[in-house]
Amino acid sequence: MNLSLPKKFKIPRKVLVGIGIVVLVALLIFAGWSLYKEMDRAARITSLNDAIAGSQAVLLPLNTDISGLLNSLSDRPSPAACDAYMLRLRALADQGVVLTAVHRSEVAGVDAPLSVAAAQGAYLEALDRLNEAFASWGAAADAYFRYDYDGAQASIDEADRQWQAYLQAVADYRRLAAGG
Amino acid sequence: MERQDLISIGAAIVIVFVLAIIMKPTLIWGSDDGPGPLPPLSPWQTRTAPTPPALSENAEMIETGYRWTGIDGGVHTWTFSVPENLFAYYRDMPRIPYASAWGRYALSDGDRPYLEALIEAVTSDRFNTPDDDYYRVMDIIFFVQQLNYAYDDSPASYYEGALPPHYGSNGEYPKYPVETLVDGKGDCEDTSILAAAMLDRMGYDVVLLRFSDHMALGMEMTKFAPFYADYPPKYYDYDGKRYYYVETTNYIEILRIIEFESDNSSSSSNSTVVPERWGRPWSIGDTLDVNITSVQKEKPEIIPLRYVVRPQYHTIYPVPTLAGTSLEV
Repeated sequence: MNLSLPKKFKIPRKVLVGIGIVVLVALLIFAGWSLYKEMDRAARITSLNDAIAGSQAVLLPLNTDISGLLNSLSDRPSPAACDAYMLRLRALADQGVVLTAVHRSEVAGVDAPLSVAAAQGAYLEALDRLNEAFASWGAAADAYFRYDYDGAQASIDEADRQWQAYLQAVADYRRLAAGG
Repeated sequence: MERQDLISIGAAIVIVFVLAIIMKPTLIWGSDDGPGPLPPLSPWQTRTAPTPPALSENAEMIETGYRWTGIDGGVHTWTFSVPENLFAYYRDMPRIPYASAWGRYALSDGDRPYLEALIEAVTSDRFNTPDDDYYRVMDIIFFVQQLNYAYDDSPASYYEGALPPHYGSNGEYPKYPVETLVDGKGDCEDTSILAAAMLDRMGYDVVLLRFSDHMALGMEMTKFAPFYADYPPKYYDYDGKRYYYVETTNYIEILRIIEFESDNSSSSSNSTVVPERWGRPWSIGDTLDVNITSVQKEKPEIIPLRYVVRPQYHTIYPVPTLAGTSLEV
């Protein structure tokens, strides 16, 4: 039996160059893909942040209108003053319902990366609860104008429950946004 | 242009003319009887009640005479005079369907000058003591308690001698204060509303107390100190305040038994009951002698005169932006 070491295998230079080029191209593709993915992820988070900031920009000013309304009544208002207050509450409720619905669809329309999907869900939940709360304000005003004060009180109690759920959703969002 | 074309054009014009003259009004209005049904109110339109008629010196007046006993024992008289069209205005107002809103009856604007005149007539500063405020309140309460009790379903309860147009099928007809004063009588909700209207105009904080078969007044007692109670006063806490029960119907009637002069004056057979009403007022918080089971056992629905909804939670909070927007390569 003739055992001998194989002759030295010589890879042709052209093959080596080809392999090198292929590896380089693969690395470039990988780097480009990674860069693209990261840019895309950043862009989607930016879009989500923009959508959330847009909703905040229109919803936060409602605080001024709401507290202005709640502090507008004197100790012994006339029925006409009570009616005017409730009409303004109805208008604010309608405004809140429309704004939360529009911005909910904008925030939901963002294709958020998986890493922030939970935060996006929490914010959507907050907008949903806020929408329900404003809708209950409107229902309370409608009941008031039917002279159904018990119904109005039941609706405003429901609005308070929805608002508490909104506070919980905001707390969840903040925790998730902080990386919790 | 040929004759055939002219006929076609003429036919088209006739059709358009027929549609414009005959069909369009039918399509729009449905009939020629009137402008058609009004569009429904949008939520943005406020409910508009007709305004009370303006005061006029030439208006036909309704006058109702009153005679009552003040809490000092003195007998007083007064004539309630109100324009007939103002009374008709209130009589024609639809009734509020939900009892929880009946406090609005006590705050009607149109009867304000008449109620103020009545308050002036009923109350007085004759005692000239630090307890004047208390006596003035008791004067009002005793005056209202002396109004004749009358059931809603009896035509005799009303000035016109007939059931009002908005008398409800549920047998309840809460009256505006002017209606009660013109009728000169009413049931428990009418007297409670009247007393509430008068005391509210005097600056007191009052509510209506609604039991299953009765209505009374609730009065917050902070503005005057005296409280001469020889009974455990009944009160209800509501919205951080304490409202004391005030009965507004039928003062405590005491039958007067007079012994006729006779040879044997001790004989009860010579006694007789005088048919006149005589008694003492229900005091604030006194329910001991109120012979109504619901008052003794139930917790009433408390109806404020003024009501608006006030959300407990109403602040929208800012939120931070999400991290991860910086490029990390």
